[in-house]
Amino acid sequence: MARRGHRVTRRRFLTGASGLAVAGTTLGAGPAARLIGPAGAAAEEPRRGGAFKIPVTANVVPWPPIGLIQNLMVNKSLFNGLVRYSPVDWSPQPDLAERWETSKDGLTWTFHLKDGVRWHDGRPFTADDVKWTLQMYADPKVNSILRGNLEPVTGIEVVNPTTIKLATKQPYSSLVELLCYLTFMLPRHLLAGQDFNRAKFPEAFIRNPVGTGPFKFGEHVTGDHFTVVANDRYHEGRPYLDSVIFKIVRDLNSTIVQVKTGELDVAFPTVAQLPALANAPNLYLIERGLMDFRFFGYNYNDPRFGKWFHDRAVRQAFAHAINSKGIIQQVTHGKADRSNGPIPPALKGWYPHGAPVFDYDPDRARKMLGEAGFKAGPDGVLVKDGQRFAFPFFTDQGQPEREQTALIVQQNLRDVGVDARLETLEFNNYMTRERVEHNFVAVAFYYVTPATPDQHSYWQTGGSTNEWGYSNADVDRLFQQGLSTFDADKRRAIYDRLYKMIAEEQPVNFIYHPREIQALSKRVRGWARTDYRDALLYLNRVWIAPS
Amino acid sequence: MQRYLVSRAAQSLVLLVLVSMLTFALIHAAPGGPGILLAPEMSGEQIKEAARALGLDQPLGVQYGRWLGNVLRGRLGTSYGQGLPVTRLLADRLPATLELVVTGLALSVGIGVLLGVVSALRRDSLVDHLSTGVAFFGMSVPVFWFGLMLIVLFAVHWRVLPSSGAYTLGAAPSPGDRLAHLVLPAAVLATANLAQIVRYTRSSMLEVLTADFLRTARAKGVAERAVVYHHGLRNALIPIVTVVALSIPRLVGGVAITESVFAWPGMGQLAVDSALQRDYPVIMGITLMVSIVVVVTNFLTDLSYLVLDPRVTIS
Repeated sequence: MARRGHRVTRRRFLTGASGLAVAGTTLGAGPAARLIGPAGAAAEEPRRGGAFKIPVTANVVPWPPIGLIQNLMVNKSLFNGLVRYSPVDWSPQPDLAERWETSKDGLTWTFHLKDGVRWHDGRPFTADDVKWTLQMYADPKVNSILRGNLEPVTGIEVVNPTTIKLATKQPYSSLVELLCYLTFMLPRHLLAGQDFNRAKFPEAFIRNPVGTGPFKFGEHVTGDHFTVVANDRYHEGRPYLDSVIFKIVRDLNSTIVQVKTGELDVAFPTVAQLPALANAPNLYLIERGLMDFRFFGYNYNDPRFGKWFHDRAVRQAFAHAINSKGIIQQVTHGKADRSNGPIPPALKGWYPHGAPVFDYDPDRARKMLGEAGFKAGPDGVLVKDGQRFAFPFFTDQGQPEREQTALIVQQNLRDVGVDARLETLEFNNYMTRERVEHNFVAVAFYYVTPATPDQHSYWQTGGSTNEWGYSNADVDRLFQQGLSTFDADKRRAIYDRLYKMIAEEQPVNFIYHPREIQALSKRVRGWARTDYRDALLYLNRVWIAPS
Repeated sequence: MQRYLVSRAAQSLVLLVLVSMLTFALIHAAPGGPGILLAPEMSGEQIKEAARALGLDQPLGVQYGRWLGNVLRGRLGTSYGQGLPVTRLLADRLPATLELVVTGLALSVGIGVLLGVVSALRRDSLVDHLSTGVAFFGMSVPVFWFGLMLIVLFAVHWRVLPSSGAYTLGAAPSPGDRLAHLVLPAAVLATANLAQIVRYTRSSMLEVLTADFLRTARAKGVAERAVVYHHGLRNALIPIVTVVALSIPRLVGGVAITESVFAWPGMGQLAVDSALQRDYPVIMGITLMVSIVVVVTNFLTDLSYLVLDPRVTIS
């Protein structure tokens, strides 16, 4: 043991976790309350059979290290993790591990695996598979989105076929929350010894993937659909559905049409498409909270403007200048939550109640900027030390919500004398400028985060997804305290303090937390009451009522 | 003839190399790198490492040389995003695209030539005005909008045709089901392609109809039907064939939008996806394939002139 961990030296922890992990709200959380209970039909006897049809936007590659939304949707039906998010409150729940415990010093985690789990090809699933999979995800030569998540793991020891120990170099209270994130177990007997270097994928495996999940590989017609079929020997019992068909529909409007005609059982409309669904008698419209924050962020290392962004008063002035409430009304038609930081109200166990929210107050913003030494120039744009407060900022193209948000931010900032000019970049271009080259002054963008309060990779000095270059010693210290605290109440107190501090600090200006809309066929039962990505973890409970 | 064939082949080869060089340079000049490297979960360092592993840190000339060398050995490489050989992806998608394009082409040529001839014969009649209207509509209506409108009418409102895909998922494949799925996308493609064919046929026919040899034919008592179709249309065909041939690359290239709206599992969608994702090997594979289609159609078109008009000779 401890071999692999030493090769992973880079400061990467939540890298992987920044992706698409999401958790939903439970009933009673605001607008979700008026919506359905797919499980509401308690008197009904679940019915076996049928195909559940769900849209994906691109070809599926069932190879967990590479992520991407269409892949991870399918992966959730084919594979299991050690643990998974609860559909109720995102707390870690048993999956292939039935229970786990930490050592007294907090440095060793022991996972006890379920007995009798088998791969789709009949071979038994054991701790050796777990060890091989975790090592592969963390291997620097493998193009893996999970490497960052596994960075704290410095040793893996197989105790016996159903027991495995993970060692960390420092206490790491969020480890099990991170393992819920897309860390799917893979069959060592089919993959060991293959070369995954140079971004290579195992071609034979992606043509015929083998997992432990409730569904087995059925058929893949590239460009058309990817079908999985019921696994009769699933360890939680055979799923009700005979199959799940992931149908490639690139055009979002087409998915809306198809869910209306019943060619799809679920679709994920944007606010703009809701009118088209208003009179669809066969559909439920459901809103769910997401682990997602929209922000206006600064490059603290920018040679010209970084020094100004380091001044907290300037950032707070921006927070007063940006009309978040107006943005929520205009851009999302109210289908979003006001943000006091990166933790959405939907993550109820960890949301920092009472953290400051900056109201829209342009007069106050102007006053604060004046106190920070800025004076209006002849054209109305603020000037300090002979330099105008005028800079470009980026957002990514093709996402109307983000583009509209950025336009409003541009106007709001202009109103207080800051000439921030929006430049919309195509997504790949945006990512290259921001992530690879760090060539930006400011951005209006989003992050989807894992369902854990431990977001140190975003806000800690040198954190792997801290693209802004933000640094604050108090914030760093509290994140470290949070990591080494295992007691739930003490943890909550630490993160509560921490996120109140972040709300005050405004390392970026937090604008809103979006909600997801699901258009679900009324024939579907047992669909988990959470965002769709996490609902897919529980597909084995879904069934279709007779029409 | 032999010399002609050899020189045509050599020209085509040079053309293909030039097209591939230009495409290679353009896609690498486009800002942003391959999407597979740019998952939001990846840090900057990880992205750079992966790019190095794919050889993207090499000079462009070296990368192109490597690609060309592989192509000469019959290898188109592996898709960055999908991990499958480009040849397999193309083989999976090409038949569906060909099916759609050939149907669309057949419909547009059949209807287009007929409308063109009739409107030339009945100049300024109701039929002529109608066919002008149809051509005008086909030329100006955006494909995605027309496609969505057809879906709304036929699939949602009247529920007589499926809205998308190439067949009903989960149902046993049948020719009827396939045809039902083909109708709307083929109609969209044909409508867009129809306009030019109608207009060219009409003007080409009008020109021929006033020619002396037709008057001669009529004078010697040839039946009007034979005058129009045997003497008239045959002589009007060369410009029409040219227009049809020119429309093929446009159809193959422009089918992407139609495929996207109807979720038709063809190459167009693959092309769009790989362009957006900067999946260089796939983009190059598709470009090569489409270039070959264009080169071959042009060649066949030139040969067809020999058949259509015995006066044409190869020099």
